[in-house]
Amino acid sequence: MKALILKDFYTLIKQIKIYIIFIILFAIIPGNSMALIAMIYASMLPITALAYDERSKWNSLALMMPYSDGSIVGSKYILGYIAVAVASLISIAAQIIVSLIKGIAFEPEGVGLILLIACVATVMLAVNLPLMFKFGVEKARLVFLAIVAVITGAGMVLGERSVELLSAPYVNIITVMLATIVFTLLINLISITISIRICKKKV
Amino acid sequence: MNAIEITNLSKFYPGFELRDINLVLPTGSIMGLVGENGAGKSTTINLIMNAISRDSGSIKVLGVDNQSNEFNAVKEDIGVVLDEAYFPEVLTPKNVGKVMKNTYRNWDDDCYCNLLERFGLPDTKAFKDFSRGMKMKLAIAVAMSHKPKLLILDEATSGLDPIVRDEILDIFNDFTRDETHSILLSSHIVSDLEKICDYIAFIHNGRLLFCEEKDRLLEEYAIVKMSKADFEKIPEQAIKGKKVNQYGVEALVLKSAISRTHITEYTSLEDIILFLAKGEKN
Repeated sequence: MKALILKDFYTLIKQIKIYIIFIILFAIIPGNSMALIAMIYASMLPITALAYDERSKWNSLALMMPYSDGSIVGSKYILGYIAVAVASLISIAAQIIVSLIKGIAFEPEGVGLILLIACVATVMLAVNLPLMFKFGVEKARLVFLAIVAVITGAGMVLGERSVELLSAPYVNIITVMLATIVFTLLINLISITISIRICKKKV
Repeated sequence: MNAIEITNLSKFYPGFELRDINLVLPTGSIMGLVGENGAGKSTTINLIMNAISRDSGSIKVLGVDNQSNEFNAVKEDIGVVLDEAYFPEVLTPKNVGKVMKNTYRNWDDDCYCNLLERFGLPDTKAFKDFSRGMKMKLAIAVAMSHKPKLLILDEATSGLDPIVRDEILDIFNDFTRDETHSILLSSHIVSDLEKICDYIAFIHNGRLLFCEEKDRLLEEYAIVKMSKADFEKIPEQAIKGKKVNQYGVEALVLKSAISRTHITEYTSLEDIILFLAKGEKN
């Protein structure tokens, strides 16, 4: 698996440099929506890596080498997790630095929020990757857009109701965070299992 | 032990089928897999490496069933070169070396660097800027740098100039000096196969027409050139392919099935393959 992550790292080195500059810029600009964009951006790295793999037909060669299906799939997830983790750390560091410069106290809630955003980014990764393995990068982008449209539509309908739910007295931020983390872990586990199955299914 | 053992292998696609392939590559030898475009050579290689699933039959590589869990470990001992190199285009040979060091347990850095030097491949030039010859040389360097026991090469020499091809064939010949090493080499270039192969397997329209020792093939078959009237005296079962023109008939025949009084000419491997392929069509 290390070999495959290394291969993606070499392939993406130019993009990674640009990503890091963007992530720092997004993190410095006040407002959590910027951190969200930075993190979503980071979670797209494995998809770029897959696009490169497709273009060079690397997968045909990888099948001839002693890589297991698990490591072929796992390397893309780990690449995504590393990217989201780095984006999170940069975002947190940027918030601390900004609060130090402004001379205001750093709010630990900010970290919680970044953690929540990281969960959203990894959930997106978990939805995206099985589609990419199944349909290839080009087709999967369209399928993913369709899914996002459905979720956004559902979100708009349920939006007001969820605000009501979240503001209920028995719901606190810790509960929401724990639930989000459990949901994220679960959806990632399911996603990895599906992706391995897709890769195992040979022509 | 045989390096590769294929028994009754079949694979069906809409519009194409590979049917009942039986093939044995004895350890220590080089087998040439020959056939026209779309005959099923690459499909056979993909099936051998379990990159695609078979519909029936069995395949053993280095003594292990290629659908067993142990096959991934066996892949450590197999060097594969496909018809193109397929490395991500921004990688340099140096990057490729580092990736492969983490891929193969037996990776030999010194061997890889020596091969890069021997092939004149620059260490730090991106793969996308390589010529086809350089790309194939890089793929061959990778395939040979993890102490493989079996090399599987799919059209590895096509598109290369004759000098480079000759150099690469020499390397393959050196590789099989070790009697535990074997090579399966698919190619369109029959002259290359004739130069280095011990065995020739000929796939045509998804079926294996023969898999025999090269020297035996060259002994078994002969070319006859004669008038139509004389040709009619040749027994039907001796004729494996023929070309008829206004001056007479040129045919590929089985030496053992014709009278010794007939004058025969030496046949090249290319003649055998062309006559057999066209004979099938006729």
